[in-house]
Parts: sequence; structure tokens; C-alpha cells
Amino acid sequence: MYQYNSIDQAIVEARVSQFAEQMNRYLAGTLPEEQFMPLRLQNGLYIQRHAPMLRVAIPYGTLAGYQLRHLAQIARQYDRGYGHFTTRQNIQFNWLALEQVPEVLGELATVQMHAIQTSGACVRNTTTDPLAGTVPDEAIDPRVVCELIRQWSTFHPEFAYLPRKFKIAVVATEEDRAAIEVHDVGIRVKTHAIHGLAFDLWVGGGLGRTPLLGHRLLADLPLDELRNWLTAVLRVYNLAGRRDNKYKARIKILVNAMGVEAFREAVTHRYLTDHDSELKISTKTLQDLSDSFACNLQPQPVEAQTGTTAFQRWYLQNTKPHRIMGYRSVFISLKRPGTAPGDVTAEQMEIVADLADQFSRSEIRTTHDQNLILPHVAETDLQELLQALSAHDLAHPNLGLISDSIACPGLDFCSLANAPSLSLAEALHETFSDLDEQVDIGPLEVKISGCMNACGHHHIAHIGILGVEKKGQPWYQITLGGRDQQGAALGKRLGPAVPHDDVLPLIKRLIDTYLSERQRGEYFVGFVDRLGVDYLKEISYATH
Amino acid sequence: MPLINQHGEEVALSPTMALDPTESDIASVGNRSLITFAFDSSVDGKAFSAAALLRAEGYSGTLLGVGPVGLDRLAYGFRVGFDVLELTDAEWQLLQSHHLSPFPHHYQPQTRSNQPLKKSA
Ligand code: HEM
Ligand code: SF4
Repeated sequence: MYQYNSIDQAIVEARVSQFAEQMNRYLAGTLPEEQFMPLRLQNGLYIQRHAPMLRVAIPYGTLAGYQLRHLAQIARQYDRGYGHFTTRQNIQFNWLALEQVPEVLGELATVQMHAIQTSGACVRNTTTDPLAGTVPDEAIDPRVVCELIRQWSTFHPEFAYLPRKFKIAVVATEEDRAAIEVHDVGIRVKTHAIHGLAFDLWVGGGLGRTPLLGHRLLADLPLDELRNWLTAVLRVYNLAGRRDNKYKARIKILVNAMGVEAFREAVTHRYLTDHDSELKISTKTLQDLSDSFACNLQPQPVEAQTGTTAFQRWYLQNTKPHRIMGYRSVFISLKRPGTAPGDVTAEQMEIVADLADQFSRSEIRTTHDQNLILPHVAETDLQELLQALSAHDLAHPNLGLISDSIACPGLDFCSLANAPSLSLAEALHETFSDLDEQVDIGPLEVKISGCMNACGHHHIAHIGILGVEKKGQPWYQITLGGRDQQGAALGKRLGPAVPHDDVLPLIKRLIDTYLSERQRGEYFVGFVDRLGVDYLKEISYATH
Repeated sequence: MPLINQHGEEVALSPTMALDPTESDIASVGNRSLITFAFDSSVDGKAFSAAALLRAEGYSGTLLGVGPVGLDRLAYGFRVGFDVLELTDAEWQLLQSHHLSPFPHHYQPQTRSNQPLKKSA
């Protein structure tokens, strides 16, 4: 794992005292609200329905055991004993006291953590493949690139006051496990015959009110020029992006208004005119960072896994192959009946931290689907690990299945919500409580957002659920066929919105139709593609 | 209102008419000895890029930023190449050295800046 050097540490500590001083001025009435707001947001601090919420950065979704243990301590001491893992690989504390936030930030700094740029109109935490460094076909560990972007974007003096937030995602494999096409900028790193390492860059994707897929702006450029190109993109955006209307301020709106060709021309012009050789990435930097992320595992002989049915089921569903023979990546599902998606108690964080120390080189990953991963577990340790996980309700073998749904906090916590989200996630667990049935249904992503801000990413779900308001009541719009992988697509609306209690019966009818009409080996999303939304609409609304 | 250099000293300078940050390329304004950019609001950051670009393209005159800069954006402003930034009287009273330089290190290359201007008499 990347280790903070003395410079990183000094910067994080300076940030803590900076924010404490800003908070003092705010509380003393000498820093006006409109000036304090961007400062608190860039320190991850939201004001929400019940209490201030603090979003803590987990850069590229990688955590060490000692860090997770400290998060547990913060959850216990300052919050209500739990934390919430988000879809952007971060963690949120929902119940802090405003005056205590500087103290919490100080606590975080002692374990090389922070809340820098987790909110606000700046470059946010860069996200990536949660399996980075464990899969066989990577051009480079994408976290190397994320770390370079983290450093470049942290307190970048030009880009702290952008028109709007700016999210970057990076992958380094053919398969896209970071949804690069729905980010402000998406980067795919690849090997290249001439450059060695090259990148393609997508721009202008995003969810929210105006869901759009990104455009491939640049292709096959040498990786060492990445920071110069990013600077060029952000300069064009910072100068030309709209600031008069927050709903029109994302880069996707600018790209569409200018047209992709004109935008590309403007970026290329900036790149050529204002190129800075100091931003070039040296081979040594790449090598040093790659070394710092390397997991250095020795291949182990593999024997066929035997064990109880429960073990087999968990092994098949919740573990994935590792590029080093004899190891697996183990997913810990945070989607269990009776718990909000992504919620983890302080005790569970401590257990996971201990298990990471014991079985996974002290490393933990957070995923876009609000689950956790122990990335480097020896096959021979799996039985023992499963036992330990099971004892703490952390072995739910539903990864990628219908009950592994994402939901935003919705009406229970969020002041912008039209409708509850968590109760639908719970209803999914109840309706599809039989694991055999879930396995039979196969891979299926359900994502639920409480309003059109789309925190639950419903647009890119196989089944998307969006809370809308109808005559003062919460209703839900259903979309089908969205996805964030190769050939990313936004879901299509199935039909008119339905009230809360009709959502699950409707989904049940859809699933029953799928089970009876699917072709051999056809997954739900393929089934939707084949039959089309119009056909499925008739069936889903049949009883109305 | 006080105009401050990167050492926190007040300087005497007469602002020129503010240029539009989105349309100020070196070819059209490079021969001016003083360029003023105005921040439209306390969340507007266009002038940061405008200043950085002029410096990147070799502008060596004086860059002045006016409007609601705020104590907490001084450091950004000086780092992108402004020589002088405006504060309110109240902010000027509160100004401390850590507002000018809150961090001991930076991840980005230093932007070229003009020589610091002299303190007013
Ligand atoms: C609890 C209170 C929360 C509030 C008040 C809140 C508020 C918002 C608002 C206002 C937006 C849209 C406006 C914007 O683009 O900035 C947004 C976007 C977003 N939120 Fe939240 N949120 C909350 C919790 C969460 C949680 C728990 C998650 C993760 C599970 C989350 C993930 C996101 C994501 C991913 C987006 C961006 C969607 C996109 O534009 O791509 N939010 N949030
Ligand atoms: S989607 Fe809407 S309801 Fe859900 S957390 Fe985001 S803003 Fe709140």
C-alpha cells in the first residue's frame, strides 16, 4: 500500500489546523456563511436532515487495518457507533456534532486519513477498480494513477473553485469496474506499442438530473502526459463552464453545449499552448509508486476446495480469483436484512480490520456497490475466514445478486429526498429471502435513489428505482436495462410511477417473467435487451 | 479597501478596469503593465485559471485580483500568479501569516510570479 511520506503527513496536519481556524472564525461570526460553505464542503462536511455529516476520503478505495480500526473508534466516540460506506468508496459519519469536526479531522490525520475534497466544487476523490492489483490483465495498478491524480489535485490552486464538483475514475483493464463512462472524466490506462503505457480519456459523463454517458475525447496518449492533459481539460472547464445555474454547471453540460469537436479543439489548444514540463510523469515516479502498491505474494499450490454447502456457496458467490495462484479476493457483503446498505458497526469494522491483518496483508478495499473486500486471502485460510465472518453477520453470500442492492439514504436521512429508499432495500431482502432463488435469478443489480440527484445511481442499474413525489406522496419510477460496464447504458423508463407498496410486486412479476421466459444462460439484463421495455411494461403493469 | 501582496503588506496600486477572465489571452493583453481580474463572488474561481494561464504564457506585468477574494483564498491566488489581492477592511484586521501560506509543501509545481511589490508608504 502507498505509505504517506513526511510531506503528505505535514500537508494533512496543516489542513487540520487550517480548518480548525476557519471553523473558529465561522463560530465567532467573522467568516460569513457563504464563504464558510465551500470551506466546510471541501472538508467533507455537509449539513443534512438530522446532524452534520462528515464524508471521509478513502483514496481509491484502499484502507489499511489500522485505519479501519481508527474509523471504528471515531464511530464509537463521536458518532452513534456506526459508519456508512458510500458508492464512491468513501465512508460517512452521519451524527457528528459540528464543533467536534476539527477534532475528528485531527484524529483522522493521525492515521493518514482526511476529508479533503470529498465534497464541494473541486476535484473529488478519484475512484477506481476495487480489485486493483489483484486481477491478471492490468496495464498497471490503476491506484498508481489515482495517487498521482490525488497529489496533483489536492489543493490545486486553480481548481478549488470550479463551477461544480469534478469526479474522475480510472481503470487499467478492458473490463470497466469503475464506471468511467459516467464520470466527469474517465481514464482507461492500457499498454501501448509505442508509448509503453497510454491512456484514453472520456469526458462529460455523469448521473444526477441529466444522466449522460461520456464521450471519448482523447485516445492513445502517452501516460506521462496525463497531468498536462487533465490540466488542459480543467482549464477549459473552469473558464467556460456555467456558473449561473447549478444544474447546468457540470462539465457534461459544457461539452454538449460546445460540441465534442469544439471541446476537443479547445483542450488540445490549451495543452499545446500551456504545457508544463514539470507535470510530466517520470518513469521513476511510476516505478516507485507501482512498487509501493505491489502486494508481493508468493504463489501457493492450490487444492480443490471442499467444504460444506455453505462454504461452497460463499466461495462461489463472494470470492474472486486473484492474479497470484493460491489466493482469492474475498467480498464482504454489507447488504444484510435489517441493515441499511453500506452501514457497518464499529465492532464490525474492528473485526474486519483484525481479519485484514490476519488474512489479507492488512489491506481492505471499499467498492462502488457499498461492500468491502479483503483482497489477498490465501485459499488455505478461506475456511477459517468464513467462520470468523459468519460469527459477525459478515458472510452473507449475496454478492451481485438481487438483494445486493444499492440505496441512497433517502427520506430517512436526506433533506432532499422525495421518497424512502432504505425500506425498499429491506423489502427486496424480504421478497427474495430465499438464497437459492436469488442464485437462480443470477446477476442482477438493483439501485435505488430517493430523488433525481441519483446518489443511488439508479440510471445504471439493471433495475433502477427512483423516488418521485406525486401529490405529496412518495412514488417510484422504474427503469430497466441500465449498466455501467462495457457498453454502458442508461436505463429506460418502464412506465408510469407506482406507489411504495406496488414496487416489489411489480419487480416480482418482472422476475417471474424472466424466470419463465429466459433463454439458456441469459442474464436478466440480456433478457431486457432482447424483449425490450415495451413488452415488459405490459407484463409488469398487468394487474393495474 | 486594502490591497495586499504575498507578504501580507498593503500596497498602493490603482486598479485598472477588470478584464474578462474568459477572454484574456497573452496576445491581446500581454503588453499591459497591470492587469486586474475581478472575482464575481466568493465561489467564483475563473480568475485563478486566467492568472495561471497568463503567467504560463510569460506575462511579467502585475496581476491584481479584486472582489470577494477572502482570507481563505489568498494563498491560492498568490500561487497562481497574482501579485496583489484585495481584502475587506475586516479581513485585513484578521489577516495572519498562515492565511498567506497555510501549507508547508505543495504537490503542484510553483507558478511563476512577479517580484513582490513594495509596501505602500
Ligand atoms: C445523507 C445525506 C446526503 C445528502 C444530503 C446528499 C446530497 C446530495 C446532493 C444534493 C447531491 C446532488 C447534488 C450534487 O450533485 O452535488 C448528491 C449527489 C450524490 N450523492 Fe449524495 N447525499 C447524501 C448521502 C449520500 C450517500 C450516503 C451516498 C452514497 C451512498 C451519496 C452519494 C452521492 C453520489 C454518488 C452523488 C453523485 C451523483 C452524480 O452526480 O453522479 N450521497 N448528494
Ligand atoms: S438521491 Fe436524493 S434522496 Fe438520495 S441521498 Fe441523494 S439527494 Fe438524498
